[in-house]
Amino acid sequence: MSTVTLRDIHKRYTDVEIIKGVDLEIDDREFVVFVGPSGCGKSTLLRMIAGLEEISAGDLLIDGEKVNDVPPDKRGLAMVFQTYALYPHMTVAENMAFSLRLAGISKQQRYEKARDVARILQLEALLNRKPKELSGGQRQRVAIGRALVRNPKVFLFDEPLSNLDAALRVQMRIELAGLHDSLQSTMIYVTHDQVEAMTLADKIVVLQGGIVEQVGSPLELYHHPRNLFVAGFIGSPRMNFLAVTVSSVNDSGTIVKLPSDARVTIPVEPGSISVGDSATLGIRPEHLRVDQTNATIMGDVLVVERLGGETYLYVKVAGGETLTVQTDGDNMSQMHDRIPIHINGNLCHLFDANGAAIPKTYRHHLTQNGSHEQQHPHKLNY
Amino acid sequence: MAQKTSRHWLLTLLGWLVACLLFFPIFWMFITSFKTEVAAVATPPQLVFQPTLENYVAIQDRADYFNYAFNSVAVSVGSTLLSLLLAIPAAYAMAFFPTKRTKGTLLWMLSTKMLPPVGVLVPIYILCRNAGLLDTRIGLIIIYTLINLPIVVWMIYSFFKEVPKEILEADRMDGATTQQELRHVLLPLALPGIASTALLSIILSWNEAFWSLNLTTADAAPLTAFIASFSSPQGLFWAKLSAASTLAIAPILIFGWLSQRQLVRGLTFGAVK
Repeated sequence: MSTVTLRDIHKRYTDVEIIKGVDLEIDDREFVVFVGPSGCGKSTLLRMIAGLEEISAGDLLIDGEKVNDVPPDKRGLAMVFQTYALYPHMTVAENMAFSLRLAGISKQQRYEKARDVARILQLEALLNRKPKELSGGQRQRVAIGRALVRNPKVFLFDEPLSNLDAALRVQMRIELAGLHDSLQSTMIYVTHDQVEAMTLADKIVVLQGGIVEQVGSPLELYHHPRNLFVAGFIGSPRMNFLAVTVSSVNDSGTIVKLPSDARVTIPVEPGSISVGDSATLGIRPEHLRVDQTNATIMGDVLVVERLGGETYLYVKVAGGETLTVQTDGDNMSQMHDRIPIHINGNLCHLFDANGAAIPKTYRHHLTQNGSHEQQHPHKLNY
Repeated sequence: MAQKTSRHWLLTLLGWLVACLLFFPIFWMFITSFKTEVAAVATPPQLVFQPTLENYVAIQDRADYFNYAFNSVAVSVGSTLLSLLLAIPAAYAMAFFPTKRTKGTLLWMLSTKMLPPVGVLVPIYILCRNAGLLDTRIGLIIIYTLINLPIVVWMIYSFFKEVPKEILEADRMDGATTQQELRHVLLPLALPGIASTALLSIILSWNEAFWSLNLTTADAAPLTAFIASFSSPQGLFWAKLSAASTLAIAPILIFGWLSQRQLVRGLTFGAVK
């Protein structure tokens, strides 16, 4: 059992507050990813859990015990740093077994343990090398090995892949997922890369400006973002937003009017919005369709980006806004073409003037059982 | 390409010129020590002469070189060790747990080096006298430590600053205490820097003359006092003085030459990374 609980955690430096009250429940064996733009406080939060930063206010519990004042090594955690932070004067084996050496374990046992871990990470041949003789990916593996040796209750990863090149990052991402699966231990992972977050996480915590914007499974965040920020942050390319006015509200949905005067019916619950209000319609690029027979709006193609498998069209529509439309790789559209776009109201999100999402009348089928969801004060109940 | 080569040659030539200029006084002192007193003051100066060892014999008759040399070694090594002992914890605190006043403290420490030593001669002399430290090696060690401490702290501080913060955080996660962190991580990483700091401190202490001449007479007198004892207001003494100087600087010169790689590496540590 290794659970981590954060209760109203704050971090203040003399005059600024970096973390403004975070509540979070991390379950045993869960892979939790903290994600957010740079400066959102995600690394600070991780470092507070690690014990590298003091907690200004609030409680941090590991396995139900308050550890605010427990030194880092006594918390039963291990951390993998963005810069690897290997000891340059030690060999791979010494690096991995350093914590055992500090704990007074015999040389023989230390070496055996390091070799066991090296076997898992395919580092056996490199045990006697120094970090400078290793590639970036190997160094990262040693850093992970150093964490593994300690048999921690919880693994902490601080942007571990951001110093690697794209191909290696994908490979390491897969290895990390495999590692989590085989170790079955609790992992907390910080990244600014939402692809890493989506692919690795059981639960994503989206942070901005020191507060939790939303906690939920990757698909929960994708299909039911709580607000404009999460909607824009999760998903790539990012969600399109259009300013709209509410023209009718009833139980089956809300009808909104686009700048082009077109109407879209969005299945959201009535109550929080009324006729005449301004609102924001959000729709993901992959949910827009170029459709001759069912056009909702017309737009002018500004740029065509062909990625082979898919094509991104950047389309200027009435009201002056640019929509990103994801179509298949064979799409024939050219720059300066005028194309019809279909907006499916069922796939749209609606946000009120404050940017909060208006709850949908239904839940996406992959997010219904809420296996990775939790009771969270910041979370809206749909 | 041709331009680059000629530029290269010009720089090499300039380098040699500067080196010769710096080396010439030592070279001249060295050859003067093998001249007779008369030859030493001859004009024009003689480059070709009959070498003699009489100056070396004479100075060994008049003073016990090894006694002075022992004092020099004891005082410079002793003060260096004491400086490191004080400077490493100080630099550790300043580099890794800085406060708002750390920069100010560092600058203030350095500013004490700008004070002319003679300005505090009388108070220090009286303090040493009252403490019974006049003409003792301990007295000199304390004075030299105080003189060199600002530089030693500064240097070690800058070497510690080069050590990535994450490595120290990693060792804290691994369970290292402050002492273990210093011993197993920080000191090995900063070793080239600490070694060059120690070398510099030894050289500075070895060459220090003002305090050693004023605070010692016989028992604790180092080689600087040994040299000074061969200078006199009248008569011919240049050859003997040169012989004494040669003997005094020979150990530190050899030491410096052997450790120059270390010294240069330490002094340029972090400059090219």
